[in-house]
Amino acid sequence: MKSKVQKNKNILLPYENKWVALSPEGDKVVAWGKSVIEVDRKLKKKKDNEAVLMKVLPFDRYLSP
Amino acid sequence: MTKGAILTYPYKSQPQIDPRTRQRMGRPFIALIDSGSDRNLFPSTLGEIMEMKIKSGKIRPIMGIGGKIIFAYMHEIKLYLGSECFVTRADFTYEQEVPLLGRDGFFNYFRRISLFEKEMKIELEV
Repeated sequence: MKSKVQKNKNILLPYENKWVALSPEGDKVVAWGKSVIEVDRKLKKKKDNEAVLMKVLPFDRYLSP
Repeated sequence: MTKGAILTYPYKSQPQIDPRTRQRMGRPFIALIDSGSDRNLFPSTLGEIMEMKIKSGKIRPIMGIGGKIIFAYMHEIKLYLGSECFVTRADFTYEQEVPLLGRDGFFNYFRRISLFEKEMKIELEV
């Protein structure tokens, strides 16, 4: 069964190379920023402690860490 | 962690406060499970939002693909995986932004790690 993030990967299209905070269900972006610090600041303002942080990688290349 | 337990994901969000200790756990984040990585490697900014003093850790060089060297600060951390928690080590760097879970510090806590590619799930046996 694919994760909800994978099923809804189109929601990440506007956020290439950005940090996002996803809803716990993985089906929507609740905050985004150029840095994780910026996203954390936005989540604190919203008092959101459950969103999940994720770095959206570039779409035009493969990753081989 | 409970010996023999099999932890199956893709993913479930957890609250930021450990219900057992009432300690702040930090924010949940998505990491790559990387069997090619010797150790855990996290972005420093992820540690900073969890109020870690990154540069207080011992600095070490890390070599990646193509022989590129980056520098990271070693720290001991509590890692929460779902409702399971274990103390481990991670290196924190300002030079890359993808959280990686590696062999020493993540894989070595499990007896078996199975990837079910078609089902897009992972099983971790403690």
